[in-house]
Amino acid sequence: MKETIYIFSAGTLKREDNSLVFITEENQKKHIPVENLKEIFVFGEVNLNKRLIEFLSKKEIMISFFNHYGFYVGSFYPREHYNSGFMILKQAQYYIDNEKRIYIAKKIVEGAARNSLKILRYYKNRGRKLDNHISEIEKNVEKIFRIEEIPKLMQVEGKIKKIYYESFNEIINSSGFKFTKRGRRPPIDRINALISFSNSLIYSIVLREIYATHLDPRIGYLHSTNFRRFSLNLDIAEIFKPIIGDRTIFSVINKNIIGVKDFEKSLNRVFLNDRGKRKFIEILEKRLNETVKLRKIGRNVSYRTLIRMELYKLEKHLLEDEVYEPLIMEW
Amino acid sequence: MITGSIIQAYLICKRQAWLLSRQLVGEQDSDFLAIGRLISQESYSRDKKEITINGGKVDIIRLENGEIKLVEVKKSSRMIKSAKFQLLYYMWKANVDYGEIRIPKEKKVIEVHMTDDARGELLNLMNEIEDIINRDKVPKAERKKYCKTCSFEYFCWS
Ligand code: SF4
Repeated sequence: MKETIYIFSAGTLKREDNSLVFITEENQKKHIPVENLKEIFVFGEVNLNKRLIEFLSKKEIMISFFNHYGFYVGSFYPREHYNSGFMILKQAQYYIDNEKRIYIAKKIVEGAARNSLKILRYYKNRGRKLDNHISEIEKNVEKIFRIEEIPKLMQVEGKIKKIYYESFNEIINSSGFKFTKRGRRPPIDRINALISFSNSLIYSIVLREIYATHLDPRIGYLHSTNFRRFSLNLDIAEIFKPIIGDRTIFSVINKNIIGVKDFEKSLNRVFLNDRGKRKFIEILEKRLNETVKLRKIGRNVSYRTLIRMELYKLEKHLLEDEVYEPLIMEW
Repeated sequence: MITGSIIQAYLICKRQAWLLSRQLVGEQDSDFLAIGRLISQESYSRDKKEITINGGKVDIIRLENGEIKLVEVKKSSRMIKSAKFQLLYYMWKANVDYGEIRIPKEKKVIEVHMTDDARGELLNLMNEIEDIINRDKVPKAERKKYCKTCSFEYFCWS
């Protein structure tokens, strides 16, 4: 099982012979084994040099950076090792052809919505008042099938998200957490701060899984491509935000793992402090490594593997092997 | 274009051969592949020279009293038939008449000779492979025992 490491402290990350070391500001040296390393998430003030980047590239280790507030800054995406011109051509073909593109985009929106509905139904069965939210979302899901243009699809997606997020107040039962409205930049309350942080992490995790496939992260279907930024990871993340991210948010709050003290406020911005970030990551990691039984393979696979498999499903769609249907939680 | 790994794949699974022909390789961090790589790198380090033929897998060439023989190292005698054709293909490409498959773990050496029959079989096989990989569509996945250890497992069965 390949690992992710998270660096919160300030210091220097460097290559030493054939391994990695992190030297803290207090001059403490920590060795980081690279054999099983998949990616590095940097939150602290870390110095690094080209020699290190070259080494990471050789070892196919991705490194992603997050700012003080936990927002994604960018990634070093190592030189592609799985390269198939054939797949990239297919990927572009499906982007250029509007009919083909919108099919995938709709499936992504539908998948995200259905997974959100699964969560709402789960809490409804536990006595939360979610009937209205559920039926409103269902109505909007019905609309998806008739849409023929991306901007229209984005509108419906926005509506579904709005209703879904409003339901968070019913699901979360902790006085320090009240959802007002979704505000990304900056997050305006603690729930928004958690959502933003969680999304940032999921985008990078999906990006790392894309690296393990033949897909090009710059060509997305729901999120428009501008060929400068990664967008396919944003697409696929939609399916996993409810399954992985939101469920983690509910559990850290409802189980009092993260409380009011784990947040900071500056100007109008609310964000997790380092302790809060660490706690959140710990629970999110657990979820990523948790396994579920897959009938088709006849054994358990982790949530992380499910992300990669979702990308494979997309590849098979592009090869006209199997029509893409998004993963809908069944457990 | 046919390569050694496509030949090997074809005899196990046509779908795999098609995928490889599009540079769609399976997951490389699969343990099995890593073991295979390690064995071919380490077991015969003294007299080995690695070569690449036609972009195919790197195997071993050894010079013995002026003669060349191709040696392929395998981790087990499973799927020996496909290994044999892969080696025959390399021999054909390199114009060599004699080859060996070595399985260090089982202390086995299997000789492979380029006879007329072998050459005929190889060429037939290559024609069949051309037919499959020139198809527009990938052959459908069919679950078989091999799938469990195949680097495409998560791809095919997602
Ligand atoms: S997983 Fe099975 S069907 Fe797929 S390529 Fe491998 S052997 Fe063929």
